[in-house]
Amino acid sequence: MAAGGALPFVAGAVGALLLLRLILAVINFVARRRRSHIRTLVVLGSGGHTAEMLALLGGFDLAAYRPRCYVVAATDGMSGPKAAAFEASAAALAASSTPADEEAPASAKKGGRASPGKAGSPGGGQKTVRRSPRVAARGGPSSGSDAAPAAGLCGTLPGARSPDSPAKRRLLAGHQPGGQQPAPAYSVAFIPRSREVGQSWVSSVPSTLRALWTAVAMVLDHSPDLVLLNGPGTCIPIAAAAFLLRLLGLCEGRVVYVESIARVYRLSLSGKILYHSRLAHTFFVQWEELQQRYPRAVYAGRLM
Amino acid sequence: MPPQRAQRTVFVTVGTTKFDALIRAVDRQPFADALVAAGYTRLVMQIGRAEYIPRRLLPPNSRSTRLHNGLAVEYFDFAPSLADHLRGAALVISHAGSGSIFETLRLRCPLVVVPNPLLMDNHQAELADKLERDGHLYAATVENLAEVVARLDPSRLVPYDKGDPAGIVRRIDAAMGLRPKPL
Repeated sequence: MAAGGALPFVAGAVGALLLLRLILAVINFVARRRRSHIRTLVVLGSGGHTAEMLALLGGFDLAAYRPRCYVVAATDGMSGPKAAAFEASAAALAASSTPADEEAPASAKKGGRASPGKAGSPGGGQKTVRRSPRVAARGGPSSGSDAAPAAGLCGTLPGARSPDSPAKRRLLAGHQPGGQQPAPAYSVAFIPRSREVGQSWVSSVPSTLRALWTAVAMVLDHSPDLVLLNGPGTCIPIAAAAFLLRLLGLCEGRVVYVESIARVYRLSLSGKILYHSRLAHTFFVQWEELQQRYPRAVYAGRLM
Repeated sequence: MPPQRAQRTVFVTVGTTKFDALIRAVDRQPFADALVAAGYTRLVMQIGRAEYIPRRLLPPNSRSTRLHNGLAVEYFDFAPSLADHLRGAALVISHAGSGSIFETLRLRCPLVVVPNPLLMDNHQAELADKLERDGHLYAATVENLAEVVARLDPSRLVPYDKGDPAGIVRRIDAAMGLRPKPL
Protein backbone atom coordinates (compact mmCIF):
# COMPACT_ATOMS: atom_id res chain seq x y z
CA MET A 1 0.00 0.00 0.00
CA ALA A 2 1.45 3.30 -1.01
CA ALA A 3 -0.41 5.23 1.62
CA GLY A 4 2.65 7.18 2.55
CA GLY A 5 3.32 8.02 -1.08
CA ALA A 6 -0.22 9.27 -1.68
CA LEU A 7 -0.15 11.82 1.10
CA PRO A 8 1.98 14.50 -0.58
CA PHE A 9 -0.14 14.11 -3.70
CA VAL A 10 -3.36 14.63 -1.75
CA ALA A 11 -1.86 17.53 0.16
CA GLY A 12 -0.74 19.08 -3.12
CA ALA A 13 -4.19 18.67 -4.66
CA VAL A 14 -5.89 20.21 -1.65
CA GLY A 15 -3.40 23.04 -1.64
CA ALA A 16 -4.00 23.69 -5.32
CA LEU A 17 -7.75 23.75 -4.78
CA LEU A 18 -7.42 26.16 -1.90
CA LEU A 19 -5.17 28.38 -3.95
CA LEU A 20 -7.70 28.32 -6.77
CA ARG A 21 -10.43 29.16 -4.31
CA LEU A 22 -8.37 32.05 -3.00
CA ILE A 23 -7.75 33.35 -6.50
CA LEU A 24 -11.45 33.18 -7.31
CA ALA A 25 -12.26 35.00 -4.11
CA VAL A 26 -9.82 37.78 -4.95
CA ILE A 27 -11.18 38.08 -8.48
CA ASN A 28 -14.74 38.27 -7.19
CA PHE A 29 -13.76 40.82 -4.57
CA VAL A 30 -12.08 43.07 -7.08
CA ALA A 31 -14.89 42.64 -9.58
CA ARG A 32 -17.50 43.49 -7.02
CA ARG A 33 -15.76 46.66 -5.97
CA ARG A 34 -15.66 47.85 -9.58
CA ARG A 35 -19.24 46.85 -10.26
CA SER A 36 -21.78 49.56 -9.90
CA HIS A 37 -24.88 47.43 -9.68
CA ILE A 38 -26.19 44.44 -7.78
CA ARG A 39 -27.18 41.43 -9.84
CA THR A 40 -30.39 40.12 -8.35
CA LEU A 41 -32.20 36.80 -8.59
CA VAL A 42 -35.80 36.76 -7.43
CA VAL A 43 -37.82 33.59 -6.86
CA LEU A 44 -41.54 34.02 -7.38
CA GLY A 45 -44.18 31.65 -6.04
CA SER A 46 -47.91 31.33 -6.42
CA GLY A 47 -50.38 34.05 -5.60
CA GLY A 48 -49.60 35.69 -2.30
CA HIS A 49 -45.88 35.01 -2.57
CA THR A 50 -45.54 36.88 -5.84
CA ALA A 51 -47.64 39.78 -4.60
CA GLU A 52 -45.43 40.19 -1.56
CA MET A 53 -42.20 39.86 -3.51
CA LEU A 54 -43.27 42.51 -5.99
CA ALA A 55 -44.32 44.76 -3.10
CA LEU A 56 -40.80 44.32 -1.71
CA LEU A 57 -39.13 45.00 -5.04
CA GLY A 58 -41.16 48.17 -5.37
CA GLY A 59 -39.15 49.56 -2.48
CA PHE A 60 -35.77 48.95 -4.07
CA ASP A 61 -33.68 51.31 -6.13
CA LEU A 62 -34.09 49.29 -9.31
CA ALA A 63 -31.28 51.16 -11.01
CA ALA A 64 -28.90 49.64 -8.48
CA TYR A 65 -30.41 46.17 -8.28
CA ARG A 66 -30.00 44.94 -11.82
CA PRO A 67 -30.10 42.92 -13.92
CA ARG A 68 -32.96 41.05 -12.27
CA CYS A 69 -33.74 37.46 -13.04
CA TYR A 70 -37.13 36.15 -11.96
CA VAL A 71 -37.27 32.42 -11.32
CA VAL A 72 -40.67 30.84 -11.64
CA ALA A 73 -41.87 27.25 -11.25
CA ALA A 74 -42.38 25.54 -14.59
CA THR A 75 -46.06 24.98 -13.84
CA ASP A 76 -46.70 28.57 -12.77
CA GLY A 77 -48.24 30.55 -15.59
CA MET A 78 -49.24 33.61 -13.57
CA SER A 79 -46.06 34.86 -11.95
CA GLY A 80 -44.11 35.53 -15.16
CA PRO A 81 -46.73 37.94 -16.51
CA LYS A 82 -47.01 39.59 -13.11
CA ALA A 83 -43.27 40.19 -13.09
CA ALA A 84 -43.47 41.58 -16.61
CA ALA A 85 -46.26 43.94 -15.60
CA PHE A 86 -44.27 45.08 -12.58
CA GLU A 87 -41.19 45.71 -14.72
CA ALA A 88 -43.23 47.59 -17.31
CA SER A 89 -44.74 49.92 -14.76
CA ALA A 90 -41.38 50.42 -13.07
CA ALA A 91 -39.82 51.28 -16.42
CA ALA A 92 -42.64 53.69 -17.20
CA LEU A 93 -42.17 55.33 -13.84
CA ALA A 94 -38.44 55.65 -14.39
CA ALA A 95 -38.92 57.03 -17.89
CA SER A 96 -41.36 59.66 -16.70
CA SER A 97 -39.19 60.83 -13.85
CA THR A 98 -35.82 60.97 -15.62
CA PRO A 99 -35.00 64.39 -17.06
CA ALA A 100 -35.04 64.53 -20.85
CA ASP A 101 -31.76 63.62 -22.44
CA GLU A 102 -31.13 64.90 -25.96
CA GLU A 103 -28.44 62.38 -26.70
CA ALA A 104 -30.44 59.36 -25.73
CA PRO A 105 -34.11 59.75 -26.50
CA ALA A 106 -36.47 57.42 -24.69
CA SER A 107 -35.18 53.99 -25.43
CA ALA A 108 -38.66 52.61 -24.89
CA LYS A 109 -39.59 54.02 -28.26
CA LYS A 110 -36.64 52.58 -30.05
CA GLY A 111 -35.90 48.96 -30.58
CA GLY A 112 -32.59 48.87 -28.83
CA ARG A 113 -30.27 50.72 -26.56
CA ALA A 114 -30.30 54.32 -27.65
CA SER A 115 -26.76 55.25 -26.73
CA PRO A 116 -24.70 55.28 -29.88
CA GLY A 117 -21.15 54.18 -29.91
CA LYS A 118 -21.27 52.29 -26.68
CA ALA A 119 -19.07 49.30 -26.77
CA GLY A 120 -20.77 46.06 -25.98
CA SER A 121 -24.30 47.37 -25.71
CA PRO A 122 -26.70 44.53 -26.36
CA GLY A 123 -30.29 44.75 -27.47
CA GLY A 124 -30.95 44.04 -31.08
CA GLY A 125 -27.33 43.80 -32.12
CA GLN A 126 -25.97 40.98 -30.07
CA LYS A 127 -26.96 37.56 -31.22
CA THR A 128 -23.93 35.64 -30.10
CA VAL A 129 -25.33 33.76 -27.43
CA ARG A 130 -25.23 30.48 -25.79
CA ARG A 131 -28.72 29.13 -25.82
CA SER A 132 -30.08 29.03 -22.35
CA PRO A 133 -33.14 26.83 -22.65
CA ARG A 134 -34.36 27.72 -19.23
CA VAL A 135 -34.50 31.41 -19.92
CA ALA A 136 -37.78 31.85 -21.66
CA ALA A 137 -38.40 35.55 -21.71
CA ARG A 138 -36.84 38.81 -20.98
CA GLY A 139 -37.52 42.43 -21.27
CA GLY A 140 -36.53 45.85 -20.16
CA PRO A 141 -35.92 49.23 -21.70
CA SER A 142 -33.19 47.95 -23.94
CA SER A 143 -35.24 45.29 -25.62
CA GLY A 144 -38.19 46.89 -27.26
CA SER A 145 -38.21 44.46 -30.16
CA ASP A 146 -38.65 41.39 -28.05
CA ALA A 147 -40.66 42.97 -25.32
CA ALA A 148 -43.32 40.28 -25.44
CA PRO A 149 -42.39 37.74 -22.82
CA ALA A 150 -43.18 34.56 -24.63
CA ALA A 151 -41.45 31.25 -25.01
CA GLY A 152 -39.24 30.75 -28.01
CA LEU A 153 -37.08 33.82 -27.56
CA CYS A 154 -34.08 31.72 -26.60
CA GLY A 155 -32.11 32.53 -29.68
CA THR A 156 -32.03 36.23 -29.02
CA LEU A 157 -31.45 36.15 -25.32
CA PRO A 158 -28.26 36.83 -23.49
CA GLY A 159 -26.87 33.72 -21.94
CA ALA A 160 -23.84 32.96 -19.88
CA ARG A 161 -21.34 33.89 -22.53
CA SER A 162 -22.47 37.21 -23.78
CA PRO A 163 -23.00 40.72 -22.40
CA ASP A 164 -23.97 39.27 -19.07
CA SER A 165 -20.93 37.03 -18.72
CA PRO A 166 -18.79 37.82 -15.72
CA ALA A 167 -15.81 38.77 -17.83
CA LYS A 168 -17.73 41.21 -19.98
CA ARG A 169 -19.50 42.65 -16.99
CA ARG A 170 -16.21 43.50 -15.36
CA LEU A 171 -15.15 45.15 -18.57
CA LEU A 172 -18.27 47.23 -18.82
CA ALA A 173 -18.38 48.13 -15.17
CA GLY A 174 -16.26 51.18 -15.69
CA HIS A 175 -18.14 52.54 -18.69
CA GLN A 176 -21.40 53.79 -17.33
CA PRO A 177 -22.17 57.40 -18.07
CA GLY A 178 -25.10 58.82 -16.16
CA GLY A 179 -26.97 55.61 -15.46
CA GLN A 180 -27.23 54.17 -18.97
CA GLN A 181 -27.56 50.44 -18.63
CA PRO A 182 -25.88 48.27 -21.21
CA ALA A 183 -27.62 45.09 -20.06
CA PRO A 184 -31.33 44.28 -20.26
CA ALA A 185 -33.14 45.04 -17.04
CA TYR A 186 -34.79 41.68 -16.36
CA SER A 187 -35.38 38.13 -17.49
CA VAL A 188 -37.67 35.28 -16.50
CA ALA A 189 -36.46 31.72 -16.10
CA PHE A 190 -38.28 28.51 -15.25
CA ILE A 191 -37.33 25.81 -12.78
CA PRO A 192 -39.00 22.43 -12.45
CA ARG A 193 -40.75 21.86 -9.15
CA SER A 194 -38.93 19.67 -6.62
CA ARG A 195 -42.18 18.08 -5.61
CA GLU A 196 -45.79 18.48 -6.60
CA VAL A 197 -48.45 18.51 -3.91
CA GLY A 198 -49.29 14.91 -3.07
CA GLN A 199 -46.30 13.46 -4.87
CA SER A 200 -44.76 10.48 -3.08
CA TRP A 201 -41.57 11.26 -1.19
CA VAL A 202 -39.70 8.46 -2.98
CA SER A 203 -40.40 9.81 -6.43
CA SER A 204 -39.55 13.32 -5.34
CA VAL A 205 -35.87 12.42 -4.98
CA PRO A 206 -35.14 12.44 -8.73
CA SER A 207 -37.35 15.46 -9.28
CA THR A 208 -35.61 17.32 -6.48
CA LEU A 209 -32.23 16.47 -7.97
CA ARG A 210 -33.42 17.74 -11.32
CA ALA A 211 -34.60 20.96 -9.72
CA LEU A 212 -31.27 21.31 -7.92
CA TRP A 213 -29.36 20.79 -11.13
CA THR A 214 -31.43 23.43 -12.87
CA ALA A 215 -30.95 25.75 -9.92
CA VAL A 216 -27.19 25.40 -10.05
CA ALA A 217 -27.15 26.13 -13.77
CA MET A 218 -29.43 29.10 -13.26
CA VAL A 219 -27.42 30.61 -10.43
CA LEU A 220 -24.19 30.02 -12.33
CA ASP A 221 -25.72 31.62 -15.39
CA HIS A 222 -26.96 34.75 -13.68
CA SER A 223 -24.23 34.93 -11.06
CA PRO A 224 -26.34 36.94 -8.62
CA ASP A 225 -24.98 39.13 -5.86
CA LEU A 226 -28.35 38.93 -4.17
CA VAL A 227 -30.93 36.14 -4.10
CA LEU A 228 -34.39 37.11 -2.85
CA LEU A 229 -36.67 34.36 -1.60
CA ASN A 230 -39.99 34.43 0.17
CA GLY A 231 -41.37 30.99 0.66
CA PRO A 232 -42.43 28.78 -2.24
CA GLY A 233 -40.84 25.33 -2.36
CA THR A 234 -38.94 26.33 -5.48
CA CYS A 235 -36.73 28.56 -3.36
CA ILE A 236 -34.94 25.73 -1.55
CA PRO A 237 -32.96 24.41 -4.54
CA ILE A 238 -32.03 27.98 -5.42
CA ALA A 239 -30.81 28.67 -1.89
CA ALA A 240 -28.82 25.46 -1.89
CA ALA A 241 -27.32 26.28 -5.28
CA ALA A 242 -26.38 29.79 -4.21
CA PHE A 243 -24.73 28.41 -1.10
CA LEU A 244 -22.79 25.80 -3.07
CA LEU A 245 -21.56 28.26 -5.69
CA ARG A 246 -20.66 30.78 -3.04
CA LEU A 247 -18.63 28.11 -1.30
CA LEU A 248 -16.81 27.42 -4.55
CA GLY A 249 -16.14 31.11 -5.00
CA LEU A 250 -18.15 31.27 -8.21
CA CYS A 251 -20.70 33.84 -7.16
CA GLU A 252 -21.47 36.27 -4.39
CA GLY A 253 -24.98 34.93 -3.96
CA ARG A 254 -26.12 36.54 -0.70
CA VAL A 255 -29.39 34.84 0.18
CA VAL A 256 -32.12 36.94 1.75
CA TYR A 257 -35.35 35.25 2.85
CA VAL A 258 -38.54 37.10 3.74
CA GLU A 259 -41.14 34.91 5.43
CA SER A 260 -44.67 35.47 4.22
CA ILE A 261 -46.88 37.96 6.03
CA ALA A 262 -49.41 35.16 6.43
CA ARG A 263 -47.00 33.50 8.86
CA VAL A 264 -47.62 35.08 12.25
CA TYR A 265 -46.87 32.44 14.85
CA ARG A 266 -45.19 29.62 12.89
CA LEU A 267 -42.69 29.49 10.04
CA SER A 268 -43.52 27.87 6.73
CA LEU A 269 -41.73 24.67 5.78
CA SER A 270 -39.34 26.57 3.50
CA GLY A 271 -38.79 29.06 6.31
CA LYS A 272 -37.96 26.34 8.80
CA ILE A 273 -35.56 24.68 6.39
CA LEU A 274 -33.75 27.90 5.59
CA TYR A 275 -33.70 29.14 9.18
CA HIS A 276 -32.31 25.99 10.75
CA SER A 277 -29.91 25.21 7.92
CA ARG A 278 -28.64 28.80 8.01
CA LEU A 279 -28.64 28.88 4.23
CA ALA A 280 -30.01 32.41 4.33
CA HIS A 281 -27.72 35.26 5.32
CA THR A 282 -30.64 37.36 6.45
CA PHE A 283 -33.98 35.94 7.51
CA PHE A 284 -36.80 38.46 7.71
CA VAL A 285 -40.11 37.84 9.43
CA GLN A 286 -43.05 40.22 9.24
CA TRP A 287 -44.44 39.91 12.74
CA GLU A 288 -42.75 40.55 16.05
CA GLU A 289 -44.28 37.37 17.47
CA LEU A 290 -42.27 35.30 15.06
CA GLN A 291 -39.11 37.26 15.68
CA GLN A 292 -39.37 36.47 19.35
CA ARG A 293 -39.70 32.79 18.62
CA TYR A 294 -36.83 32.76 16.16
CA PRO A 295 -34.12 35.01 17.57
CA ARG A 296 -31.89 34.98 14.53
CA ALA A 297 -34.74 36.36 12.44
CA VAL A 298 -35.04 40.07 11.74
CA TYR A 299 -38.24 42.06 12.04
CA ALA A 300 -38.13 45.21 9.91
CA GLY A 301 -41.76 45.95 9.25
CA ARG A 302 -44.39 44.45 6.97
CA LEU A 303 -44.72 44.38 3.23
CA MET A 304 -48.51 44.58 2.95
CA MET B 1 -86.88 63.43 -6.29
CA PRO B 2 -88.17 60.33 -4.52
CA PRO B 3 -86.05 59.51 -1.47
CA GLN B 4 -83.83 56.49 -2.12
CA ARG B 5 -82.47 54.25 0.58
CA ALA B 6 -78.70 54.16 0.19
CA GLN B 7 -77.46 50.88 -1.22
CA ARG B 8 -75.65 48.86 1.47
CA THR B 9 -74.03 45.86 -0.11
CA VAL B 10 -72.55 42.81 1.55
CA PHE B 11 -69.87 41.31 -0.68
CA VAL B 12 -68.91 37.70 -0.07
CA THR B 13 -65.67 36.58 -1.72
CA VAL B 14 -63.65 33.37 -1.86
CA GLY B 15 -61.05 34.55 -4.35
CA THR B 16 -59.83 31.74 -6.58
CA THR B 17 -60.46 29.07 -3.97
CA LYS B 18 -63.21 26.53 -3.46
CA PHE B 19 -65.11 27.26 -0.28
CA ASP B 20 -68.52 25.64 -0.57
CA ALA B 21 -69.20 25.80 3.16
CA LEU B 22 -69.12 29.59 3.17
CA ILE B 23 -71.43 29.91 0.19
CA ARG B 24 -73.85 27.45 1.75
CA ALA B 25 -73.81 29.39 5.00
CA VAL B 26 -74.61 32.63 3.21
CA ASP B 27 -77.19 31.18 0.86
CA ARG B 28 -79.79 30.84 3.60
CA GLN B 29 -83.03 32.68 4.38
CA PRO B 30 -82.15 33.27 8.05
CA PHE B 31 -78.87 34.81 6.95
CA ALA B 32 -80.66 37.02 4.43
CA ASP B 33 -83.08 38.09 7.15
CA ALA B 34 -80.17 38.92 9.46
CA LEU B 35 -78.68 41.11 6.74
CA VAL B 36 -81.90 43.02 6.24
CA ALA B 37 -82.29 43.47 9.99
CA ALA B 38 -78.78 44.91 10.11
CA GLY B 39 -79.68 47.41 7.40
CA TYR B 40 -78.11 45.85 4.32
CA THR B 41 -79.93 46.03 1.00
CA ARG B 42 -77.91 43.82 -1.30
CA LEU B 43 -75.93 40.59 -1.15
CA VAL B 44 -73.35 39.75 -3.79
CA MET B 45 -71.56 36.39 -3.72
CA GLN B 46 -68.33 35.77 -5.59
CA ILE B 47 -68.27 31.99 -5.48
CA GLY B 48 -64.95 31.17 -7.13
CA ARG B 49 -64.46 27.47 -7.77
CA ALA B 50 -67.41 26.40 -5.62
CA GLU B 51 -69.27 23.31 -6.73
CA TYR B 52 -72.27 24.50 -4.75
CA ILE B 53 -74.33 26.97 -6.78
CA PRO B 54 -76.56 29.19 -4.64
CA ARG B 55 -80.07 27.81 -5.03
CA ARG B 56 -81.90 28.47 -1.78
CA LEU B 57 -82.13 32.24 -2.10
CA LEU B 58 -82.08 32.28 -5.86
CA PRO B 59 -84.52 30.79 -8.35
CA PRO B 60 -83.08 27.97 -10.50
CA ASN B 61 -80.89 29.13 -13.39
CA SER B 62 -80.92 32.66 -12.14
CA ARG B 63 -77.94 34.73 -11.10
CA SER B 64 -79.86 37.52 -9.44
CA THR B 65 -83.13 38.12 -7.71
CA ARG B 66 -84.90 40.29 -5.16
CA LEU B 67 -86.21 38.54 -2.07
CA HIS B 68 -89.52 39.17 -0.32
CA ASN B 69 -87.68 40.88 2.50
CA GLY B 70 -86.31 43.39 -0.01
CA LEU B 71 -82.76 42.07 -0.21
CA ALA B 72 -81.26 42.04 -3.71
CA VAL B 73 -79.19 38.88 -4.18
CA GLU B 74 -76.81 37.99 -6.98
CA TYR B 75 -73.72 35.85 -7.56
CA PHE B 76 -70.86 35.35 -10.00
CA ASP B 77 -67.80 33.13 -10.05
CA PHE B 78 -64.80 35.20 -11.07
CA ALA B 79 -63.94 38.70 -12.14
CA PRO B 80 -60.61 40.09 -13.34
CA SER B 81 -60.57 42.52 -10.48
CA LEU B 82 -62.63 42.57 -7.34
CA ALA B 83 -61.56 46.09 -6.41
CA ASP B 84 -64.79 47.72 -7.57
CA HIS B 85 -66.90 45.21 -5.68
CA LEU B 86 -64.80 45.74 -2.56
CA ARG B 87 -64.97 49.50 -2.84
CA GLY B 88 -68.72 49.48 -3.24
CA ALA B 89 -69.38 47.22 -0.28
CA ALA B 90 -70.57 48.25 3.14
CA LEU B 91 -69.33 44.91 4.47
CA VAL B 92 -66.99 42.29 3.05
CA ILE B 93 -67.10 38.65 4.09
CA SER B 94 -63.96 36.95 2.84
CA HIS B 95 -62.07 33.70 2.92
CA ALA B 96 -58.84 33.94 4.88
CA GLY B 97 -56.39 34.36 2.01
CA SER B 98 -53.82 37.01 2.82
CA GLY B 99 -54.15 38.74 -0.54
CA SER B 100 -57.89 39.13 -0.13
CA ILE B 101 -57.53 40.29 3.46
CA PHE B 102 -54.96 42.97 2.75
CA GLU B 103 -56.64 44.20 -0.41
CA THR B 104 -59.83 44.72 1.58
CA LEU B 105 -58.09 46.33 4.55
CA ARG B 106 -56.23 48.70 2.23
CA LEU B 107 -59.57 49.86 0.87
CA ARG B 108 -60.75 50.41 4.45
CA CYS B 109 -63.80 48.13 4.08
CA PRO B 110 -65.29 46.55 7.19
CA LEU B 111 -64.24 42.92 6.95
CA VAL B 112 -65.32 39.58 8.38
CA VAL B 113 -62.86 36.78 7.68
CA VAL B 114 -63.92 33.14 7.64
CA PRO B 115 -61.07 30.61 7.59
CA ASN B 116 -61.93 27.50 5.61
CA PRO B 117 -62.31 24.60 8.07
CA LEU B 118 -61.06 22.19 5.41
CA LEU B 119 -57.76 24.07 5.32
CA MET B 120 -57.25 24.27 9.06
CA ASP B 121 -53.82 22.72 8.88
CA ASN B 122 -52.58 25.39 6.51
CA HIS B 123 -52.13 28.37 8.81
CA GLN B 124 -54.79 30.56 7.27
CA ALA B 125 -56.42 31.12 10.61
CA GLU B 126 -53.23 32.63 12.11
CA LEU B 127 -53.45 35.83 10.14
CA ALA B 128 -57.18 36.26 10.73
CA ASP B 129 -56.66 35.64 14.42
CA LYS B 130 -53.82 38.15 14.71
CA LEU B 131 -55.60 40.89 12.79
CA GLU B 132 -58.74 40.36 14.85
CA ARG B 133 -56.75 40.68 18.06
CA ASP B 134 -55.37 43.93 16.76
CA GLY B 135 -58.90 45.12 16.04
CA HIS B 136 -58.66 45.39 12.26
CA LEU B 137 -61.35 42.88 11.32
CA TYR B 138 -63.79 40.34 12.69
CA ALA B 139 -63.12 36.62 12.44
CA ALA B 140 -66.02 34.20 12.20
CA THR B 141 -66.68 30.58 11.54
CA VAL B 142 -69.14 29.17 9.06
CA GLU B 143 -71.41 28.37 12.00
CA ASN B 144 -71.44 31.72 13.79
CA LEU B 145 -71.26 33.97 10.74
CA ALA B 146 -74.83 35.25 10.94
CA GLU B 147 -74.40 36.09 14.60
CA VAL B 148 -71.11 37.91 14.00
CA VAL B 149 -72.63 39.92 11.16
CA ALA B 150 -75.64 40.83 13.30
CA ARG B 151 -73.62 42.20 16.19
CA LEU B 152 -70.59 43.66 14.46
CA ASP B 153 -69.93 47.35 14.75
CA PRO B 154 -67.80 48.72 11.90
CA SER B 155 -67.06 51.90 13.80
CA ARG B 156 -65.07 49.91 16.34
CA LEU B 157 -62.66 48.59 13.76
CA VAL B 158 -59.16 50.02 13.80
CA PRO B 159 -57.93 51.06 10.34
CA TYR B 160 -55.01 48.95 9.17
CA ASP B 161 -51.97 50.96 8.21
CA LYS B 162 -50.47 49.76 4.98
CA GLY B 163 -47.14 48.06 5.25
CA ASP B 164 -43.97 49.55 3.88
CA PRO B 165 -41.07 47.61 2.38
CA ALA B 166 -38.67 50.43 3.28
CA GLY B 167 -37.57 48.81 6.53
CA ILE B 168 -36.54 45.57 4.87
CA VAL B 169 -35.08 47.37 1.88
CA ARG B 170 -32.90 49.55 4.10
CA ARG B 171 -31.43 46.50 5.77
CA ILE B 172 -30.74 44.80 2.48
CA ASP B 173 -29.20 47.97 1.03
CA ALA B 174 -26.89 48.14 4.01
CA ALA B 175 -25.97 44.46 3.74
CA MET B 176 -25.19 44.89 0.04
CA GLY B 177 -23.01 47.91 0.70
CA LEU B 178 -25.27 50.53 -0.86
CA ARG B 179 -24.94 53.91 0.69
CA PRO B 180 -28.33 55.39 1.61
CA LYS B 181 -29.41 57.93 -0.96
CA PRO B 182 -29.49 61.56 0.17
CA LEU B 183 -33.10 62.69 0.46
